[in-house]
Amino acid sequence: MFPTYQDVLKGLSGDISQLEQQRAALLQQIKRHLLIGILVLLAVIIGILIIDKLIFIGILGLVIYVIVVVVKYVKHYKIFRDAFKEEIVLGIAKQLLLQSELPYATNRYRYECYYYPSDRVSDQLIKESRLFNFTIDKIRGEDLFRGTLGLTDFKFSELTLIRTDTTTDAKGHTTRTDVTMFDGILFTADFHKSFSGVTILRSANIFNTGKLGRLFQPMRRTLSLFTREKKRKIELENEDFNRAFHVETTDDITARYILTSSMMERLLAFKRSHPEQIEVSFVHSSMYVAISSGRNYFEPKLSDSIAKTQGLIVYEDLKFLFGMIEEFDLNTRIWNKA
Amino acid sequence: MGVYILIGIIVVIILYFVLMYNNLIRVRNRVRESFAAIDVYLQNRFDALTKVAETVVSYAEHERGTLETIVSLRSKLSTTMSDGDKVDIYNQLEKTVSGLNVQVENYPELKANENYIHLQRTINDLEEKLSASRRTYNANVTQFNTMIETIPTNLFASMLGFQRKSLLEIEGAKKADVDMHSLLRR
Repeated sequence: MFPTYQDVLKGLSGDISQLEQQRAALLQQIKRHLLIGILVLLAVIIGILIIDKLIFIGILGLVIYVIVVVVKYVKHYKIFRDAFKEEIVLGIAKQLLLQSELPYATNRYRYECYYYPSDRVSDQLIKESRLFNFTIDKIRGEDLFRGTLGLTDFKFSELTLIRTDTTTDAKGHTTRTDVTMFDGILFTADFHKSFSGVTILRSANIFNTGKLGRLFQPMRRTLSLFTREKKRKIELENEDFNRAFHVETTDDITARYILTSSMMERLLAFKRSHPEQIEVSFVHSSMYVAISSGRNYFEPKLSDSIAKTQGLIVYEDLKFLFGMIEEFDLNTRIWNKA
Repeated sequence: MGVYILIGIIVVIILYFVLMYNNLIRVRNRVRESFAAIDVYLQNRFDALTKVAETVVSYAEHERGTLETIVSLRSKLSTTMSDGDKVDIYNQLEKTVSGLNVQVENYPELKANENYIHLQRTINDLEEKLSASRRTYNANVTQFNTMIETIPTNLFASMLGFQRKSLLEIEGAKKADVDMHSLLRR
């Protein structure tokens, strides 16, 4: 379905070798400045041991040197990072789509991808997904992709959701602590059937499945009164699926319309092949997948080769994300949505 | 003191009885609701299949007899009919239309017809919704049957008029392998 990494590299329009040279030059610069820094520090220490009064001048000189070096490095690194994102990340994304061979492709299929390195999915989309039922005080994110693969529109970005906890001690001092509630990728795609309502699949744990889950059900039902929709827990015919996911829905029939035996098998296979925490929701004809990985995606590293290592990591990550569209068969449009 | 304890026990038993009864009613109503949904989707599918037959007839006049059979079946359906009679009519429709769909293979212009394609999508969608409503019905019936057959609810269920319900099962004809050879020869 997707081209190999070698084919993608061949299709890249930018010159990777130039970027590699930039990376190597930046790495050399850091090593050089580190060496100079150590020598300057040694000179300052020796100077201070000989003449005490030099201590202030020595430390000031060292601090100025460090600031100049850091500012210069940050500026050059930013240029390198922007070039990496434009040429490598966007380049690989476009080649993956353009060179893909989707089964049953027709002339209605489109292969488009747009990349916004500094943007993230909108607050509205985060809220619509219904996957984050906790207080969100801060949102950070980047690397927004949107486009169309085949007949399916998609959008995803990195996302970090933070809750700020405030505690007050006995003396009245307030402490604020940031707690990371989600750190990963939020992916959304246009589902291949039209439906209304909300169905949420959460990874099963002892508090939402089994005998203990039933014990906590009245509490969850009471809590759900305070959320937008009243959802009901349902169990489906596939026991493996029930063990893997806790399913809540606003409408039983709609949930089963979405979660056919085939879709349940696909979701199970997806969950088994990826060790990260995965939660899925189906909301008003869209599908949302939250992958909690804790990784920082699509960032360049100075220590690794771009063509051999870093490009391959970007390729694998994008292949996994774009691949979800075929993994869940979203391009098959034989029902009420064209 | 003993009197208060006795009153307390009686109150708890009454409360439990009320909760149990309300739960049974709730689940029984869900069963009825899901059966009603099946009926709605079957009716919608009937209407869609009638339109398919009309489209096919516009290309293949000799299939007019099939269309007349379908229209006649449709006219027999009424809201006062029992569920069993309705299911019989739906089954007869299915047999009538299945032969029609095979004949469509002989008319490539019909297969490419926008109206026909749209109708096929509608029917596919209704089939999925029908399947979902049948699965929901069976899940609700299983829950209901489990409630009235487990202790201590089973002690009171039959006294209160709650009877075991049957699951929807696939007909024997549909479970059997399809004889494509004889179907395509028609």
